[in-house]
Amino acid sequence: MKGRVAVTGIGAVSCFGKGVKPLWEAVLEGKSGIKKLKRFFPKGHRTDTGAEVPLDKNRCFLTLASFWSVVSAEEAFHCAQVESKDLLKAGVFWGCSSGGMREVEQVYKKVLKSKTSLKPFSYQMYNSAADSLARHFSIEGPVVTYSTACTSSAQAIIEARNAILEGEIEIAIAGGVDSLCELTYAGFNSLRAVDPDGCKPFTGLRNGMSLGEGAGALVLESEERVEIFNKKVLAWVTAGVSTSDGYHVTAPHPQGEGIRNAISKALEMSGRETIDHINLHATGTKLNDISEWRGIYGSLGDSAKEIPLFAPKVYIGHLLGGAGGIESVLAVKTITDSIIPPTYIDSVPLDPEIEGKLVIGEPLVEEVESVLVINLAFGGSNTAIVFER
Amino acid sequence: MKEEIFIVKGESVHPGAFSLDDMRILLESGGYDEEEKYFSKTPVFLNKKAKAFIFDSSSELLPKREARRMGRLSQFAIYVASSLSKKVEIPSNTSVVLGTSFGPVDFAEKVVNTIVTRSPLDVSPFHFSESVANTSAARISMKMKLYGNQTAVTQSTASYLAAFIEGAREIFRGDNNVVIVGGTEEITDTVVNSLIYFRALSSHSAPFCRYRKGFIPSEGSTFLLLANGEAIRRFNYFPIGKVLGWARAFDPTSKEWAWGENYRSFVNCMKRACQMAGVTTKDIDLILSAASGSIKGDLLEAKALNTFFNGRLPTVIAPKGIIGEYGATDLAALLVLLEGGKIAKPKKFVEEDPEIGFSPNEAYLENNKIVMVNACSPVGSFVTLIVRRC
Repeated sequence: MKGRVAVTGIGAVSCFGKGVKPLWEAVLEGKSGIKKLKRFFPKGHRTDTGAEVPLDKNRCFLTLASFWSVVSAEEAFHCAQVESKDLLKAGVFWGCSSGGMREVEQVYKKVLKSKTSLKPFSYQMYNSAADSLARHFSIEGPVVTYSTACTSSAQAIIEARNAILEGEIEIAIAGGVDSLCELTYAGFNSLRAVDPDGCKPFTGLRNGMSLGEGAGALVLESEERVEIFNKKVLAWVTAGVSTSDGYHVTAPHPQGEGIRNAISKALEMSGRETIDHINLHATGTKLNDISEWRGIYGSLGDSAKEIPLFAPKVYIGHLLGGAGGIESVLAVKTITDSIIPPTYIDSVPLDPEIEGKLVIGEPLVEEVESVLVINLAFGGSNTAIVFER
Repeated sequence: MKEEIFIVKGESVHPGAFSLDDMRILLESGGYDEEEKYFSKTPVFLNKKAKAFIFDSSSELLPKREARRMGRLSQFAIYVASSLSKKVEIPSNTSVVLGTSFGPVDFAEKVVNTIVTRSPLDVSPFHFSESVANTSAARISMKMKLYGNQTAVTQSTASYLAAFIEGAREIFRGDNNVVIVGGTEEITDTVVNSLIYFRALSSHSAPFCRYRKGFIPSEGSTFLLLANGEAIRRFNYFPIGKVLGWARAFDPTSKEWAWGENYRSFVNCMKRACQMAGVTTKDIDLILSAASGSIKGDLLEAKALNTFFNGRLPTVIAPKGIIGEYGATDLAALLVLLEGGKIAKPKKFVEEDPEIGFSPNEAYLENNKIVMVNACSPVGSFVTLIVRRC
């Protein structure tokens, strides 16, 4: 274990289209992509809103998840100025929760009428997006898919960083993807966890999440490689920790024990006592937000009340397996641009029990030396990643 | 290596083998005595050309009250993890890293089926929450009150060995001192249907055989407990194996469901694992191959083995010819070897394939001898693990 791990490239596909630029501009303007769904039309479901990615006629991959994975990685590699010859020994560390389930659902309807082939069932496999990515870029290094629900891509970033520190690889593409599908849309609705009017995280009005889709990718490189090739470093990944609640399959630990543990260990790993900014998981469900805040407060104490917070799902919805990836992209942008986006443009009634300082109104312009990205998931999986300037 | 990694204990459940002791008897015998007994009779997806090792519906692994709260994938995992906890002490900081190829496909199917045939409004929250890939790992953490890392890794048939390596890396880095690793799998109608569609299955699994036509999928679960030296001392563990090295690689010429042609990437994988382990090809005493009876997969692995070992190929064993593919059967065979058991030559092996140039044999692993374990998945993932028996 030696050196540090740098972020040298970022890429994204979101409800604002392809690329980090439209995503970043939208969140700074406080523009939400959560709307009445069109492409993914949830006929007969309890709700009909979400943050869907605009249709791309140039789609050339079998599933949306594979396509967005390649598009986001392509942007990240371009940003990092990585040449294709360098990719041979690179690694792919990708998170995915539902894979090509959307496409499988479409096929399943036909299968019931015995009118189709079964080939698309292979697209559902969680690893199909990561494998497509590796094939597209001719990568021969380790290719691993993590499927831990909403922490999948955060877990992937953590393990990519570890693989670089262990000396297994020098370059990794890390992040994750998910596309809207009926299974998750109906599933979260069955749990009464979707707010039909759009999520309102950390407020007293919160009534559930908004589902989204897309991908987020980071190019990670070893410090040695960065020095040799004089690469531009967007941020350093100085810590990544995951923990388990060991509590409940769907509900977070009420006191946020698991996430508190993850944050404390991540801060210790990065050698920091506190943090400049937190990119929240903040789904907008009653149980998640309070548990998350208690975890943050439990780890950071009163200083947590002064840390500017950002809840990105207000704009892009919950990308599930892709959440940690795209939220890490936003965290890196916060460092490079020294701006923390607002969670709400207009004032909102905050939950009195949550004493955190959400940025509201104008973006907060200040030097951000360090960002903590938090994710929580079904099964009690928690992750905490620290990015530093 | 920053931290030494030891294999302490393991447990397993597969059709006809409800414990590691049963598994040892099965692997030593070369195949099921009453093979048909373990083949599902469901007419929807099974025919003379394809079979599957599936638990008989009367098999009760968990008390009914506990079992009804979870899918079969989790039932297998909980059964094995509970059995493991009866053999050794498992501390609360333990991590759980689980590999699964298809995940909880049964419950995912149930949800999709409800949406399609009835209404999205009728979807059961229970079915949905059980359809997430890491549910089994989460259930182990919940049941045993474990608060370490909890992960599910999915890389098709390489998932289980990939999960082993994820757990080993955690100890190697010093992030944890005890980790449960392994895999769990359920074989459903949809799984078998899609495997038949890809012409992957056979009624006779005969790895490396000239007449091989495919593999037999098997459901079940296997878990191992890994620990570092400090945990060995603290908990009075008696290690059965020491992890020496590993590597992972990918073949970009692979397809969504077909092995590629790039065996050199597999050769590099074995080479890097040996480098990490500080051993050469001469030091490898046994190869626990990934061969399952698949036409392309077995050939790809054989080409890689012949190239890497360059005429000095040690004994090769092919346990998937006895106990099938999926459900971490490779790790079950590793456990049997490390506990002094023998792996027989698969009964269905008939004749050496001239293109392959070697046959699987019967073998066991003596103390201090080294085994190389391979995974070679149809989606392109390769994993190599090198272990010395203690």
